[in-house]
Amino acid sequence: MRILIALDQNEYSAHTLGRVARLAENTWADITLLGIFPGKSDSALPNEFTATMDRYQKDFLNCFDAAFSPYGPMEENNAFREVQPGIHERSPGPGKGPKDMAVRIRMGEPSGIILEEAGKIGCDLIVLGCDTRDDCTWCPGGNVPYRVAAEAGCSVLVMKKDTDARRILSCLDHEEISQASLEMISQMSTLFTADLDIVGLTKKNELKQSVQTKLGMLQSYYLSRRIQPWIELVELSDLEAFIAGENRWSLIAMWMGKQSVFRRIFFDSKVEKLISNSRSSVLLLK
Amino acid sequence: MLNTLISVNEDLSSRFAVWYMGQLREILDLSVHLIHVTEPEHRGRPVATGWVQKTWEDSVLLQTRTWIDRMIRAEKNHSRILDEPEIVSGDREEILLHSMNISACGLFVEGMFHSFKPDGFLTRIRSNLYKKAPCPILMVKNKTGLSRGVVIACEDKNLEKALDTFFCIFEPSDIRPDILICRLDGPAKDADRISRRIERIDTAFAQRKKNHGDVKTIAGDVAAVLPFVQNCSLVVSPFPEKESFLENLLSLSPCPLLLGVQGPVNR
Repeated sequence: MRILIALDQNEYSAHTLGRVARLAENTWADITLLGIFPGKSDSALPNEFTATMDRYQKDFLNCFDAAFSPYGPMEENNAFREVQPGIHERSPGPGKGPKDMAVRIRMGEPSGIILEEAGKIGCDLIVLGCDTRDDCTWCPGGNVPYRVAAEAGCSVLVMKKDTDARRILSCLDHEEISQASLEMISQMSTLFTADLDIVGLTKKNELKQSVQTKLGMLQSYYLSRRIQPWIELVELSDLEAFIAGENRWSLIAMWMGKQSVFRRIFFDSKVEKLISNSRSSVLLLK
Repeated sequence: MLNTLISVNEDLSSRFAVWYMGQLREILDLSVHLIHVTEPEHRGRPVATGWVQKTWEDSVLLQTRTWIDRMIRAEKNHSRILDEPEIVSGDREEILLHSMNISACGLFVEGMFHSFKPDGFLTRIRSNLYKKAPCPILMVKNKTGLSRGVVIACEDKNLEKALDTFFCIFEPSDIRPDILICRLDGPAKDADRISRRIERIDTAFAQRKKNHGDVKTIAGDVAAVLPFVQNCSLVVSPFPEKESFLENLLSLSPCPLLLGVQGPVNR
C-alpha cells in the first residue's frame, strides 16, 4: 500500500500527520509526503516552506518508536534538491527503513499536482487535511480537497479536525464489497477509536435477503476484529437526509466505485457539499 | 429460572436476538424457547387442494425449519441455545400472546432492525402484541456484547417502573446499570428534587443488596439525551407512552431495548 499525504503550510495539514502515521504503522504503507507550494515552477523554493516540510517529516517520524519504525531516520543536512523544474526532492539516504518514505516539494496549482503525483506513483490512498471553518478549502488553492476527491483514481481521505463523535459511518455498496475497502474502514475505526455504523439500504421498506446476508457477513467480519458495528437501515430515498445528520460521525466512508449506488445518488455537487459543509472527515473509497 | 420466548423469523434480526440471548444466558438462569409463526397470508395462495396442498405446506414448513436450524447452528457457539424451535401457523399476535401466557413467560424477545425512520419501531411498540404482552419485552436491534454497560432510561414520572423492569429481569445478576433520568419536571437545577430521586434509587438497590452506576439527570431535547443511549449493551425503559419523549428517544437508539410491561404481568 502506498499513501500520498498532500501538505501545504496550514495547520490543517499538520493535523493529518499523527493519524496517518498510525495508519501507516498498521498497514506498513510506503509513504510520500508531498508538499505543495503555490508558486510558479520556475521560482525559487522559499526556505520557510522547506523548514515546514522538515517539521512535517520530523513530526511524522516522531510518531514511531525509532527501534520499530518502518521508515529510516531523518538525516541531518539532507537538503532538498531540484530534480526537475519545480520539483524538489530529498534523497532517501543510507539509513533507509524497510518501507519507503519519499519527501517531495512541488510548486504550482495544488489539485493538479496532487492528481498527477498520485497517478505517477500509483498510490492507493491520498490523504489531505482541511478546516471546516474555511468550508474545507485550501488557502491558497481553493477547493482542492473536493477536486482531488472527485477526480482521483484511488481512494481519498479528507481529514478534518476532531469532532466529539466517536462513530464512523460506513456506506458500502451491497453488490460490490472489496476486501481493501473493508480493511480500510477497519483501520479507520482503529485510528478514530470509533464504533462503526453500517448502512443497510432498503427499497420500499424491504430489505433484500441478499443484502441481509451481506450485512451479516460484514457484522461478523468486524466483530471478529473487535470492532462494534451497529447496523442501521435507511430507505434509499432517505439516504441524503440521513447523511445530512453528519454531526453524529467523525468519519463518513463511502464506496464510490463506478457501479456504486452511492456514486449515483451522491453525484458531484452532493459530494462537494459533503466535503465542504460536513464536520466529519470523508473517505471516498474507489 | 426465567422462562423466555424468542420469536424468530427468516431474517438477520432474528440472529441478533438468538445471539444476544446467548450473552444473557451467561449471567442469568434462563430457559429459552424459540418459536416461529408462519402467518397464512405469508404462505401465499394455496397451489392446490388435498394431498398436493398438504405436501406443499409441508415443504414450506420444512424450508422454514431448515433456515431456522441453520441460523441456530450458525449462532450456536455464541448462543448455546439447543432447544428445538416450535413452528406454528396462524395469527402471529394471537399465537405469541397465547404462548407467553401458557408458558408463564417472563421475557419475550425478538430481533428488529434499527432504522433511520422510526415508523417500523413505532408500529411494533404500538401493536397489540406489545401492549398486551404479560411480561417485559426485549427488542434486540443490534448484535452487541454486554461489556458496554446497561443504561436505565426513564422520565422523572416513571422512575419506579423503570427500576421495576430492570429488577424484574436482572435482580439475580451483578449488573450495575447507569441511570438516566430525562426531562425533569420543574427546574433542572432543583437540587432537592434530584437528591430525592437519587435517594429513591439508592434505596431500591440497597434493599436488594445491589449497586448501581452513575445517575444522570438531563433536562434537554432528544438530541441532548441520545448520546447516552447510543452506545450501550442494553437500554432498560418503562413501556413508553404513545408520542412521548421516551418513545421518540427509544426509536432513535440502535441498542437492544428492554421494555417494561404495559398490560397485566406474569408473576
